[in-house]
Amino acid sequence: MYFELAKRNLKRNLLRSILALLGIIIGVAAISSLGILGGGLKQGIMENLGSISNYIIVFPNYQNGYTSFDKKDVEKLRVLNCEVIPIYATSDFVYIKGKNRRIYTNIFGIDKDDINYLNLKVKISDTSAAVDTFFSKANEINIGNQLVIKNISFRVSGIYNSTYLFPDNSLILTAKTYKRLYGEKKYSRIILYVRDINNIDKIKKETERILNKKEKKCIIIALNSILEAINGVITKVSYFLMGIGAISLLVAGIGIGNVMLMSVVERTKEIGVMRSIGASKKDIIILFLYEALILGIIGSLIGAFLSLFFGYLIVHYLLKTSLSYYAIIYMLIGIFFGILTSLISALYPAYKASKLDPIKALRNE
Amino acid sequence: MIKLKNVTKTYKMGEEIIYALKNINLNIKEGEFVSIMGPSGSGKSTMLNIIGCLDKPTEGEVYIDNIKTNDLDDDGLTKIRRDKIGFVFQQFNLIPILTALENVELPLIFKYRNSMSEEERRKRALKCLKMAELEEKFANHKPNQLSGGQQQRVAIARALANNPPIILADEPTGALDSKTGEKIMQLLKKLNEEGKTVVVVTHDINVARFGDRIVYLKDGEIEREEKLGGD
Ligand SMILES: Nc1ncnc2c1ncn2[C@@H]1O[C@H](COP(=O)(O)OP(=O)(O)OP(=O)(O)O)[C@@H](O)[C@H]1O
Ligand SMILES: [Mg+2]
Repeated sequence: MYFELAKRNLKRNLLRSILALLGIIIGVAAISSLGILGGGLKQGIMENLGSISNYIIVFPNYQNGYTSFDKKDVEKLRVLNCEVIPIYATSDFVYIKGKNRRIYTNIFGIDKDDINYLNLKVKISDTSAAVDTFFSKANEINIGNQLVIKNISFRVSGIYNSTYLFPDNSLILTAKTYKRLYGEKKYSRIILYVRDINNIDKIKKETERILNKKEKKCIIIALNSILEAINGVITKVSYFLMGIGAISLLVAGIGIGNVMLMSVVERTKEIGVMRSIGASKKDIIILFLYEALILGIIGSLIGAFLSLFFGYLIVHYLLKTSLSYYAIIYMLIGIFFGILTSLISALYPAYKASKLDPIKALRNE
Repeated sequence: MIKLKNVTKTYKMGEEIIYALKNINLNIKEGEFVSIMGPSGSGKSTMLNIIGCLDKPTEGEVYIDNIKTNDLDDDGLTKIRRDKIGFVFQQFNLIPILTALENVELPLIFKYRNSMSEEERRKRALKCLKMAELEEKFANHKPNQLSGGQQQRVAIARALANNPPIILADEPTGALDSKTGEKIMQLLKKLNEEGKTVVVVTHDINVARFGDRIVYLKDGEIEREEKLGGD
């Protein structure tokens, strides 16, 4: 009945209730969809970079005069609980057959079996090469095309997404082919693939101990720390965005408070009547809070579903990823704050109504 | 049932002190029907509101059903209003968004919350409407669809909802024509005969004659009392 009473009181001045509702809807939609934007950004980053978090890269320390690793360094690392992937690297001209074009490119050599650990989703043989998407697009190259390096031709057998490990404009050969071309025996870097992310720090420390025993021979970078830093920044950005959304919710709260205060004034006599037939102060407060609760619930639900729609547009067309469970979390956050705001802004009007002197309220016309 | 002992009520108007009631002593027995008359501003409503625990006296003691109400806090006074007293107003004061039946249910809701089933509540409210002699077909009408007399019957039914021993009416016929007013007074008389203690404030001597006794107020004091014998 309290609910019924509140509902009818809201219907009494429908336009005013709808305006109050609109405020909540906009506020909640803003908070949730900005939250979803932040979540989408984070997910996009994870999709692009998430796969690198299992890797540790070991570079020679150029400042101390080290420019490469030898077989002995690699063997020392084999005791660690991870895959050790030595990488050859150089730069050279690559001819593109049929296009009469010559491109200076980063060329990597990796052991045929090790490639599987790098999550590139390509297969290469000793007579083929893989290129990154940038290289492929810039030179209009597809799987099956032929490239020529040092007068030997290779078939393009795979195209991988460029990452921090293998940047734009790069090409991967098998280690055997690489050595045939460049005869090099030294590695320019070593990648460690750690299956369990929780072991990253431990393995990083052990690597440090093994290679940098006497002096700082190498620089060791765990990619998950980069990822964490990026995630941290995005989290802050999305809180900031949601904070902006919260401002519109604050405005909505003021709107509800205003509407409630108006109806307290208008219904002063009724409040007096209710008090005289046995309503306690608490009953009066509950009555007004119910009205706010109804506004809050309806407004928040509509706002949350709108945010799903906006969120879908943002994520799908702007970030080009897909919505997932995080959208529901931000919807729930929006709904929670929407209802909370409605209730809080009704507190003062409800308190004021309960404080009315019954006699004065009854006299009021 | 109702006892006022040396009750004084003052209002401050700037420097000036206005005496709405001056040293009132009044005893109303259970089952009595008392009319209160007096010129405008003589303190009738003030007295009724103090009896009805809507207002507190500045000085003196008030007993309702042997409970001293001076010392009660707001919740205590609310309980007395809810359980011991039914109010009837000149302007009916029904809640416009509620039907006749729902208006009568309201005091039951304030008293029982959810501990009384909806069905039981409706049954009781309907019974009260019947006691107030409102035809059942009007039960689902909104107040603005009812005549003044019908609205006052709903208000009386509402006053009866929690079965209080006391009915207080402040000019219950003030907004009605004399014929309808008389019917409303007959209803109050009937309720009085069924055991309710009734106090009615009025300007109309024909209305006042329904009482067992008329108390005349003037300038906040009891000027005289008149016993109406016979019945
Ligand atoms: N809140 C108030 N502040 C100041 N004076 C008040 C207040 N309420 C009542 N009074 C004064 O108290 C006196 C008694 O008022 P009350 O309403 O009891 O009169 P009444 O007998 O009911 O009059 P009426 O027949 O016109 O209803 C009046 O002089 C009135 O002006
Ligand atoms: Mg009066």
